[in-house]
Order: sequence, then structure tokens, then C-alpha cells
Amino acid sequence: MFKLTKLISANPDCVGSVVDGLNAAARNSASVVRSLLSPTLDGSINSGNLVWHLQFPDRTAFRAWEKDPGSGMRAAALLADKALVSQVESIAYQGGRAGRKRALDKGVYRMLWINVNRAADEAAIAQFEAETFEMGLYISGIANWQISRVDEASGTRSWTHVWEQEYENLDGLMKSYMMHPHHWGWVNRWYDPECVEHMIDNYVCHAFCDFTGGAIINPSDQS
Amino acid sequence: MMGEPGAETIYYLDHIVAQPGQGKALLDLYMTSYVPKAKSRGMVLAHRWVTPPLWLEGQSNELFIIWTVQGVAAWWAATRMRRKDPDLISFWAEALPLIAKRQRLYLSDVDDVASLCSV
Repeated sequence: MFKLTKLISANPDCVGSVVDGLNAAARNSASVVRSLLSPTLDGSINSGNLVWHLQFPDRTAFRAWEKDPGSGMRAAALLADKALVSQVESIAYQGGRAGRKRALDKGVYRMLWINVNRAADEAAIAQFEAETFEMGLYISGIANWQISRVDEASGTRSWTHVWEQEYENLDGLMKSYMMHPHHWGWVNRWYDPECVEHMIDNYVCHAFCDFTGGAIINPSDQS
Repeated sequence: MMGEPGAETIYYLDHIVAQPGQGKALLDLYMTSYVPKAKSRGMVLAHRWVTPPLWLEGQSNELFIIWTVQGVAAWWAATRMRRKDPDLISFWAEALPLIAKRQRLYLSDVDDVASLCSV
């Protein structure tokens, strides 16, 4: 599955117009197999006020959508309108390694966008990716998870990775994930400027929102 | 010693191998440039250990400096403040000429592993 996600800072008076326009841009294309447009929840960081997540069968379908005047081009024009939107962070990527403990019909979808900009070598990046994937195995609150390399990025940083998770509820994110030692006592060292392993820009997008209508992360779709 | 769930003692270990003959200078710099800021973030300085237990002139001392906070929430609070404090980060750049190798580790008592993981 090829994915496109945007974190949108819609001007407060224009959220309804932006939502209507983006929903139409998703509906108007047969290339889109899944669209989630949901307000970011309180506690999100550097993530605007809307999460828009689209899924396509493959990159070719994504390209076709981008060039479609009624869908991708319509969305691009809307998001470029400064009267409606002040900032957009964007990533496009082939879904990476994914895991699943249980299927969720609804819950909390969380993403962390990062820029790995100080890596010593490719081996360090691979180790970070492997340990990030293993968080899903150790941390009970994570129901579904995926770590992916970003193919195309725009916005505040050159985003290199996206770490996606699904939780049954906010406790899964705020308690199980945040408080588990695999997080703060292990994987955190890649993010910690005081650790010699530090290699990730401290400016991140930490976005989470409600989702309904079935899982967003499907291990069968990983590359 | 086992801690109460939510208030387990979390340890920070700075294991630092000094450049030959620089062990005492490194400790002095750590104490003057790093410790006051770290304490202001809620971290408690628990131990300052050195091996071998004398200041070597032509070889490397190893320092084991151990901090504590009580509970993971306190660890996150200290971490968020640390990351916003350029002085703490720049200390490691300032100390680099005195350091041959170092590692920052986060630890707990083994008796606390079960409760820490039960989240």
C-alpha cells in the first residue's frame, strides 16, 4: 500500500471548507482505497489541526491521483490557499514493516514523523528501525504498528521516517506506550541529545486522532 | 529495593572513559558545568564513582556518575526540560576533548522490572 499523509493547519474559521474540499478530493478518485480525515487531538505537537491520511494500491495509483484535476490537483490547490490553510506537512511513502496484535474497528491513530539527520551509518538506521518495530511486540497497548521510510516529504523538515501505531483508546498511547521502559529506557536513546546514539532531529511531528471504519495499518500491505 | 508502582527509582548512568590523565579535570568540569543544571531539572546526584580509585596521569580513569528520579513521569519531566536546555547539551561538546568514550544508560532495580513493564 502506498500512503500519503498531510498534517494540516487549517485556519480556524475555514476548517469546515477544508474538510469538505478534501473529502471531495478523496471521493472523486477510484485510486483512493482509504481516506481518513480527522481532527488532531489535544496533546499533538507540531501537527496542525487536521490529519489527512490516504492510501493507494501502489505508487502508480498515487501519481494518477496527484494529476487528476478533480481529486489530487483539487486538494493541492485547496491546501495552497493561504486564506484557508497556513501550514502543511506532507509525506508520501510505501508502507514499511508492520505488525498486528488485534484488529481494531475504531480507536486512536498516532504517528510520529521524524528526520534522521545525524546517523553514523546505514547500520544505525537499520537498528533503529528494528528496535522501533519491536516496540509493538513489547508494549501491550500498541494494537497495530508500522515503521516506514518516507519517499517524499515537504514542510518544516525533510521527514525520513514515519512511525504509526493504533491503540484502542488514549490510555494505550499516554500510559502503555509513553510509560513503557522499552520506550523511555531503550529506543529513546536515538532521540536523546545526551546519548551517544542520538541521531534524530528533536523537531518532530507527534500527531494523533480518532479513527473509525477499520484498521489503518495492515501488515499484509507492508513492502 | 523495590519501588512503589509509578514511583520506582529510575537511574541514569553516565559511564565516561576519560582521556589519559584527564579524569580529575573531567569530573571537575562535570561538577561545575553539568551538575547544577541537571539538579534544577529534578535529577538527584546519587553516586560519583571512579576506577581505579586514584587519579591516573598517563592512563584513563573511568567515571560512573549515577543520578536518580522517582518514577517514569519524573523521568519524562526531566527529559523534556533537558532537551530544551542548550547548556546541558552543549556541556557534552565542551567536555569532548576530555572524553575517550562515554555511554548514557537508563536503569532500574531488577525487582522493579515487572511493575515498570505493567503499563
